[in-house]
Amino acid sequence: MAAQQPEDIELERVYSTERPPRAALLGQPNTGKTTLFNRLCGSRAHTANIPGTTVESRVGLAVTTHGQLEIMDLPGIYGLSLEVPESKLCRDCLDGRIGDVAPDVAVIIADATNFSRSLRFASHALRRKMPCVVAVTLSDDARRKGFSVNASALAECLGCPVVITSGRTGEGVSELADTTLRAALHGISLESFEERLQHLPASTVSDTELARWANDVLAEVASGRMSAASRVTDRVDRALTHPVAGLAAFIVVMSILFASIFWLAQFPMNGLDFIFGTAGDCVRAIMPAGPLRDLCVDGIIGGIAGTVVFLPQICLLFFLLSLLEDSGYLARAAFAADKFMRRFGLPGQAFVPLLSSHACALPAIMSTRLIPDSKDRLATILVAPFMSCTARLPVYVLLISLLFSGRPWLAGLAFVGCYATGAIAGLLSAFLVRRTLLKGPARPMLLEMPPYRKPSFKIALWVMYDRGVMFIKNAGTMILAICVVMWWLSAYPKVAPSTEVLKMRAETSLMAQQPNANPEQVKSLEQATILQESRDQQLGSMTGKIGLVAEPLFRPLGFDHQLTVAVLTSFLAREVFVSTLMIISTTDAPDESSLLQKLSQNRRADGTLLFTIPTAAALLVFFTLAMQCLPTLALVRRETQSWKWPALQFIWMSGLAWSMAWIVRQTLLTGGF
Amino acid sequence: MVSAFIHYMVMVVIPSTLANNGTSDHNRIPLTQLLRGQRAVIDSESLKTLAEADRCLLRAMGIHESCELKVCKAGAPCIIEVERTRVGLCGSVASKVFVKPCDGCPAA
Repeated sequence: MAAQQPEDIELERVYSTERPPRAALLGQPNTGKTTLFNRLCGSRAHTANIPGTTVESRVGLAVTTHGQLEIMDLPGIYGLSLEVPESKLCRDCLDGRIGDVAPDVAVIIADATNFSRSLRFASHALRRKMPCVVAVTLSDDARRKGFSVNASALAECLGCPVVITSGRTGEGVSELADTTLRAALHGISLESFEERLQHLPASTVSDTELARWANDVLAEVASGRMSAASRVTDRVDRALTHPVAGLAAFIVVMSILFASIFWLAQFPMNGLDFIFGTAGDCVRAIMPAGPLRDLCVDGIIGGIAGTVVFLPQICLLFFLLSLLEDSGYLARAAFAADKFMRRFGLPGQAFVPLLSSHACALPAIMSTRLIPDSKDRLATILVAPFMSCTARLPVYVLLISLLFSGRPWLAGLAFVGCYATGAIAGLLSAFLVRRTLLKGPARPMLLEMPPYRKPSFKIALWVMYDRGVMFIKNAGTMILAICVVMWWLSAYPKVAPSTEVLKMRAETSLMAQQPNANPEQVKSLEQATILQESRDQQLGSMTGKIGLVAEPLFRPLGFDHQLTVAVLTSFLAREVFVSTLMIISTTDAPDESSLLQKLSQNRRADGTLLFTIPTAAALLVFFTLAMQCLPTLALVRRETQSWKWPALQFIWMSGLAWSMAWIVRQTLLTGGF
Repeated sequence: MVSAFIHYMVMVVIPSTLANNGTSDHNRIPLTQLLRGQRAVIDSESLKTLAEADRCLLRAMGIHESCELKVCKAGAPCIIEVERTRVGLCGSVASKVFVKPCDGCPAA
């Protein structure tokens, strides 16, 4: 075993009395920074917003021979002095103006495959008076292409330690952690800082002079020459940005992405549904009947199920997005969509979240983190729920079937119309919001097209895990709380059995006692009694009472009390609408009739039919445009760190939905329907 | 016939030869007019017409005055390559960036 050096003993002494030193990873986008971070920290990392900001950063612990080192992966930036939010955030973070404590050392990432540009970036970053280490990343990739960097020669040129690394192979990663810890603990004296500055070009040099300096350093420290981008890259780029082939590729990739979150996710979602359903049944069987059992089964287990059920879609979307981003395609997709999206004030990167929103708005809103500009991102978050999600499907199916029974072509057109209405309303709302609330020049597309690389499944799995945990920790708790509150509002106060229920119970009991009783008839009567009890409970609960108060608001749309209650309960989740409507509907249709028949024969208190064509059409338009999803509002609150934006989103979407539904109803009534 | 030949020489051949032989201001053209595969040098004055933020970002990406670029996708929006960096530029920016095509650069 090697004897401990005096320097090591000194480091241990300093380290044991201090918190783990903090290192900030600073580099340009697509330079292997996050891959290196994952290598350094492994599972000891998590994503969190930088304190006081809505910008996220990954923070983790790297283990060195002298102890742990806290590492913070700052957002990728093209230059520290740029007046863009990410650069400002990095400056503030390095200066200790945001975050709990300033980093002790900066690890400056230099991409070996684009070395001249990395040197120019490093020359600016090294001018900050703090300990710095330069990590040359993607060295394996560069070596394969015939280019290598001499670490000691580069350290001599830059006046700071240099480590050659590769996040993919793990080369130099432990050496980097050790070197960074040493640099953090040693700090930087004025003399050594001034000595470092002597190695660097003056901050006032022109771009041409800076490029010349970088080329001089490159000639001194590097051997070989990076070959130009391969012809394959040229050809693939040509195909992917071609007006026809590029569009076709875009449609194929996006269709796969959409189908995965729309179709593939349903299997684990059904599995989760089954698991929580079984758990609820078990608890129901074990616990004695009463409010505590209702809270456990319907409130807590139902609430957790309502939160966790979104996980498969979120995990799948981020897994696929990570693969696409890693492969270099996502930048090309954003490039292809940019021209169209710009017309509505949105960037090309907004296309993927808006498409994902057709499956579920929750993962879509989380994926807006791909959008670099904060205003663009906020505008995308605000309009994403307009896209028709899967939860709206049962409502569409029901209402379209009511409206166009026996006319499949018209029903199909109406179905497409619902999706188109949502998308058009979303894009027009984005246009409006970018010209009013989020006014200001849109950031023009200046998008780096990273080289095509084989995507890493390991990194994709990490991203998936990280996003899943983040969703559960950040949004899940709030969604669970909302689920419990909504359950409480619809379950309390408990309504005493009505005379009708008592009569039905007595009838059931009498029928069951008869020696020649038909078991099927008894069961049918039992079910009818339970349904009547549920109906009384829904209408007598807090939600039912709120529905009574809110009824005048919905009366112009043709909704009665029961329809208003169904609309209100579906704020928890849109899919609840159909089941609630079934429970509370008053119909004289025979029990064995279909759901559609029952609903079509639903009557108001005055005996007139409830679902006339104008009312059903108004309800369909309302559901297409309304913000009927509390979990989405909770997530928007988390993502924007403010109640202002979800409140605005709710008011705008509900207001627009109400207005459009009213216009449709009045038009149909005027047309004599 | 002769006048047609002289007209062709004066209007087409001589200007294109002059344009291909040098990088004088006469052959400054917007980036959007370059063809795929064509190489050009960014005009030292043209970046100054861009917004400060866009100019700084382009410079940080390695697209600065007098640097040489290659067009990977022509038109607006376009994709250019500088050193080993490929950048997609929207039409509003690309049309303001003026370049001087390099000598004998073939277009695809």
